[in-house]
Amino acid sequence: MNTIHEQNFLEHGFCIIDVENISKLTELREKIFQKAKEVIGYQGNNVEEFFNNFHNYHLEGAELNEKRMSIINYCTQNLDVGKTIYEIFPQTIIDFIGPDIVAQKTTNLVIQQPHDPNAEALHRDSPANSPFEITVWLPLVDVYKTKSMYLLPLPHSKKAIELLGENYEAFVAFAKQHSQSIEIPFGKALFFWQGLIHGVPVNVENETRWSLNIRYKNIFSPCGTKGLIEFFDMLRLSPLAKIAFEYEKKSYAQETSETSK
Amino acid sequence: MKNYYSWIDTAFVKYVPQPLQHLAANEQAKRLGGKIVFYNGEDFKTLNNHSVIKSKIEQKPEIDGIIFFTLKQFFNNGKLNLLFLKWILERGYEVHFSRENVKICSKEELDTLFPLLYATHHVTQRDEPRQVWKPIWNLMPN
Repeated sequence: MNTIHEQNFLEHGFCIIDVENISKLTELREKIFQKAKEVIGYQGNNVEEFFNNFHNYHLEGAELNEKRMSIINYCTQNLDVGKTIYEIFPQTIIDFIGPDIVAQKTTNLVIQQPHDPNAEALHRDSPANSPFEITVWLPLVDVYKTKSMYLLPLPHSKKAIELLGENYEAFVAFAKQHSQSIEIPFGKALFFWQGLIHGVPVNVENETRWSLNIRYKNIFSPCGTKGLIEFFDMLRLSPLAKIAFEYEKKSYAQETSETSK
Repeated sequence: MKNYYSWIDTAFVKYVPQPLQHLAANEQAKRLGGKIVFYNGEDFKTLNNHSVIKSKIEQKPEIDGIIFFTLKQFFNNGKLNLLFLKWILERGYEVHFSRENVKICSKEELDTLFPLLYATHHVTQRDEPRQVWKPIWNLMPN
């Protein structure tokens, strides 16, 4: 992460980062595309055309959710998306988290079709998530205007959170006034702090958004209400942590031996 | 089809009632391609030494493993009871946690998972105020 990104993050609570490994990203998108083709029955080979025009299949409600879950389950069971997204942005994620990293067990895949009223309301992820997590929001197509998401930069999020406990209508009005739509071409990702207020508008563009989002944190940083082993898988350890865990494993076995007598 | 014991968290029934723990265990068994054939839990006096499940295992039941409700059932006397986890695995039984959706089928898998188990225990001890669970601790043996 360069100093401009660091400055942006400190000031706004988010930054947009170029991929470090584009071939990994392309490969990940291709695998999701192949599964989606199979689920939907698409015969073509143009990934962007398929994703962007997905709404022409006219899938809604339970039927859409069933197909989306089928793709998500495939990603969770076969693609190790948490590891792959880390490999797409390794240095950036280490810069944010440090070298001892856990990744969210399940990656979220969002398919936001034009005029779908079921857009996510304004919210923040922390709480319930830990404020020590970073979210990687990775679009699989170019996103812009209402095809994207919006968020409130850090100073406005802080003000909005004050209003949230006092007057919900005032909170919504303030958030709408100060929200910022994020434009991201395929090949970049949004990294944002869990306390930022964000949401999804009704997509009034003529294209469907496909995006992934996942969270990372340091293994020893405080958890929110979502427990460490419930929500996260081990991703990587520093050489020091590897030695320390091996050491602890032995002493723990001895200590528990005492307690189990 | 695999067969499992469901070992509910007796200490936590006040907060996660038994029917919910059964739902979680049944769902976990289903994910594993199996079913629950028997359920039980520890007495409040045996929460820390696992005497009840230990005696069950010593009878060598024809099951594939035990589905516990949560990893916290192995946080005993302020420590992660790694040895008892190993003890179960060494007798050929799988260990599962439905709340965490975690499966441990061998000592090698336990080794791989150790950093996450250790950190979960450490972070919980460090950050979860004991006062929150006071009604439970008050019932538990010292």
